[in-house]
Amino acid sequence: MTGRGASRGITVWEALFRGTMWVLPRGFRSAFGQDVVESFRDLCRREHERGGVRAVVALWRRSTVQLVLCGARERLAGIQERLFRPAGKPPRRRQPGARDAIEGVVQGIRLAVRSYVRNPGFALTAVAIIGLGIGATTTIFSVVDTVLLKQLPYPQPRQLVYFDHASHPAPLYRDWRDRTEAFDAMAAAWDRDIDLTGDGEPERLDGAIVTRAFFDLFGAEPFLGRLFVNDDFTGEPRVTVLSHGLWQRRFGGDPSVIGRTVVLDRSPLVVVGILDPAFSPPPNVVRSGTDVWVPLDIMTPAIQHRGLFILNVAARLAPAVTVDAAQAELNVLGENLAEEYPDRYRRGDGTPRPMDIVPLRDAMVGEVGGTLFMLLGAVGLMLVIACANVANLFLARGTDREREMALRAALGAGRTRLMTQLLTESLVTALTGGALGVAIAYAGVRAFTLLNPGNIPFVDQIAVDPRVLSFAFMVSATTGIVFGLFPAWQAARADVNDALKDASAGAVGGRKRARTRSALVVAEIALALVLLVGAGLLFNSFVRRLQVDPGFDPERLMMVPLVLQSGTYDEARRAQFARNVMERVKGIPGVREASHGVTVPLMYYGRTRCCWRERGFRSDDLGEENEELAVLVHPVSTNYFNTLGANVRGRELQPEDDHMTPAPAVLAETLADQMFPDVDALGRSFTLDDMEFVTVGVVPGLRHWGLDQEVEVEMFVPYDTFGVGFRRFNLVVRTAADPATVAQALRQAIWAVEPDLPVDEVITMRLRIATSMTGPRFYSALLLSFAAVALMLAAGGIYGSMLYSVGQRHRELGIRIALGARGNDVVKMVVGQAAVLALVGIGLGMVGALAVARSLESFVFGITTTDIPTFAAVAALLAVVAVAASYIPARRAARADPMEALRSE
Amino acid sequence: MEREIVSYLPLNPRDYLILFALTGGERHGYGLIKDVEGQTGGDVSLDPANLYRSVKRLIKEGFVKESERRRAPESSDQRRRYYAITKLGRRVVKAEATRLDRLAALARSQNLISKKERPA
Repeated sequence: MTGRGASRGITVWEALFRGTMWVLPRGFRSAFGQDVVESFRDLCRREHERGGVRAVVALWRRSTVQLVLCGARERLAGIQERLFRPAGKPPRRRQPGARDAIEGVVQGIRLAVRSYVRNPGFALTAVAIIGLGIGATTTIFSVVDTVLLKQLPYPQPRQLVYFDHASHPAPLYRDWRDRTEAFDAMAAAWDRDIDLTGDGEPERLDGAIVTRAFFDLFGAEPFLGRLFVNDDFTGEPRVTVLSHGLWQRRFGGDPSVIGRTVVLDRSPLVVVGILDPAFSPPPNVVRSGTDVWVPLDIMTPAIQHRGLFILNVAARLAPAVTVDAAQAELNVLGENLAEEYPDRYRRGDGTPRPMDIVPLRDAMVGEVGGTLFMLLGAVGLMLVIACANVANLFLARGTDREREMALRAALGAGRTRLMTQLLTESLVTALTGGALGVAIAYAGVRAFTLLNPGNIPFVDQIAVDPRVLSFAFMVSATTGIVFGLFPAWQAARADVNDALKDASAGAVGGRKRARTRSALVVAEIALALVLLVGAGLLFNSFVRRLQVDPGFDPERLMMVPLVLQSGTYDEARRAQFARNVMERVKGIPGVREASHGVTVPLMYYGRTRCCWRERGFRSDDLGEENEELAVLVHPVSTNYFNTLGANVRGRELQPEDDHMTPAPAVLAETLADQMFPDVDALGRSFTLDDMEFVTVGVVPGLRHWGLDQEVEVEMFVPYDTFGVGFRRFNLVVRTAADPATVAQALRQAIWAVEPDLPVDEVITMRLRIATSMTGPRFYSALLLSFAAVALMLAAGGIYGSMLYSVGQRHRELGIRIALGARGNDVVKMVVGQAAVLALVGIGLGMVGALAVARSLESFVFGITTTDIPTFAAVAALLAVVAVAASYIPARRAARADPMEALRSE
Repeated sequence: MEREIVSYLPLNPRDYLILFALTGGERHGYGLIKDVEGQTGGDVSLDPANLYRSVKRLIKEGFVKESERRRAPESSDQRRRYYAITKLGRRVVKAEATRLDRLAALARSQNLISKKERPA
């Protein structure tokens, strides 16, 4: 009786003890578990003999407390062993509890690393997503930083200003320089192509003719020899400074080139120095890649005409003088000049012509600034979507780890401690992603500079430097906190008791968490929509640019830009050259039509200055005058429009037109509409700056600056009368077959006439058009790729969320199927759920997109920023992707096994 | 190559007691608990979980091994695992005893404890 009672009393306590054995780590349990229980049973027997059930209960209580403590120590020791201790070192004994925050973080990092090693798929996905986001953001930031944020690499960069409205005449430059107090220093540069001859092949170089203060203003240093001194600007011999690149390329880096004479534009110049290769002048003052520098004597009679717009001007403000103050002084000067030269500096309405200065950086950056900030905004959005995505991953993982967290809480880990660990994990993820991002940024920056879309200043200086690295680090850390805080908070808040109950129920805090996840998915969809709308608008604009009618037929059209330098060619020789070349070119088999002009369409895309502009229109017939209208005048040869395939109403220019008075002119429709708004322009005569013309034809405009630019107010006049004074000479040829086949024959024809003439390029109009589209194509492609990533992330978010939700509702779905629901119904239900999320996201995204799109005003072309087809297409795309992404989880749900579901219930 | 014995010292008191108990011959878990209690006059009472935690550690350190011999078949204990002290364990426990003895001698030499005094 006692024996049975005793054994029963013992059995109960033994069973209780045994039931607590799970606190021990599995390895320990399998090695010693049985022995522990048996020892406990032996002790129980003894205690029962000694003090009955009371003693057994006391023993059980004591032993169980010890058992739990032992479990905790063993688990900690296990963690320590795997992480803290390199192989071969004995385990450190440590007192549990007393551990400071830093140690907590260190431990957190180790735990994070360990948990990632255990679950590499999760880690890789999270790191890849974050890496992509940070990589893209860092790439764009390094561009923005170099172009927009860093100081200009010149002395006193904040004091530098640029004289706006393109180029200026030399006398006006002197007025600014001599009749103002606001500027400390002022310099001007004249961009000119310069022919280098003698010693090898003739070569056309980008040259700059610069004033005295130029190199000082921008802090240039010689690499070898010297830069210009005062005597260089007036005296003999004439001198030149060469670029480091030209010196290397043409002279093999030979230092003895200093003091040697080179032939530039047929004149001998003495090389006095080689420019520091690090020097990079503002591209709006001097073209980048300028190879030859020549001093400019500002008093040279040849340039003392107030209609000769040749100089790009920059200045340094005197200390403590603001841009506004300098502008005010310039305005006063403008008034005075308007008094002195009313014809030139007073506008039709009596106000003086404006003379404006802008900070040099603003002038250099121009529209690129807006574009870059737009890109930065776009990658920022992408990064936020990536964050939401990873936060979702962490939330899903949080559910799986709820028991781990609860156990740690039960074993005495504080809430702060758990949050620290989870936050550390997300930070480790983010920083690893950041490291990947930096690697991506290195590649990205390289790609960006290689694909240079043009007109980005300092593009060669864009690099992943310490500033960029610290930016990447800060973004990574912020990212980690952003996507880690919420899941950490949720996990740490979880109720220990709930969590320790059967974990397979799995729905602890599930509802709340599901809501959070849904909110994140909605946010992802909304943000992706914003990005997609932006990309869609840009892409749509790009397509519309391509569809613009250039006003001529670009197929099988070839152009050869030439420069007939003034030193070599006078007007008679240019006319002679034109006649001889045309004769030969027309004789080339495969050439259908040929003509030439000072410029041709798209010659100067992306530039703001070129060409011949005239003001001062007067029509005696109509008694009209328009002083303000600046007309672009193009001297062109006969057969010009026929070659281009442009439709002329009236007639083309003809050989007989040369040297006639009034001179025949073909007007662009834009000009005809402005000058003769109410009558037919054909046959009307008019004067422009006292030159007499008669309209013989009207053409739709030819786009000179780019397909996306407005058609200029322009007119075409006979070459022999007006064109022979210009250095520029562009040959245009229409071919019967592939234009490439005649390229070599064209060169030969030119060299047959002029063996020394450099022929830089023979290019097709198609290529020219494509090149002129580089910027829009690059930016819309970049934005599209960001949007594509955003779309993928959003799709992944929906997919993951649905998969998770289906997993959670596994039993419910099983029961539904058991009760007769068909697979189809389940699919519909799950997809419907995704569709609801998508619709909410799209709705919210639309509101955001409408707001954001407004800022894209300057980037769109041919559509408005609220272009309904773009918005609709993007919304539809997103909806389709959302539904498609939810389909796989839905199919899986439909296959839920009702038996399994019922069993586990 | 072999580690200096002193590098294992000092021993955790519980480990010392377990090793000491094993110097008297092979023991199973409950036997160890009883022995340690006996040695300390009931002052140290090992609970099963922590006992095996120590055993696990001592095995890992190489002080203790699982005995290959089993009790005689007639013994009801045949399924139990017995543990034996290793040579290394013996040396370590001896070294620890020496160390403790020196400390005790030091205390005695300063009359901190009387020559006869022994822990109860």
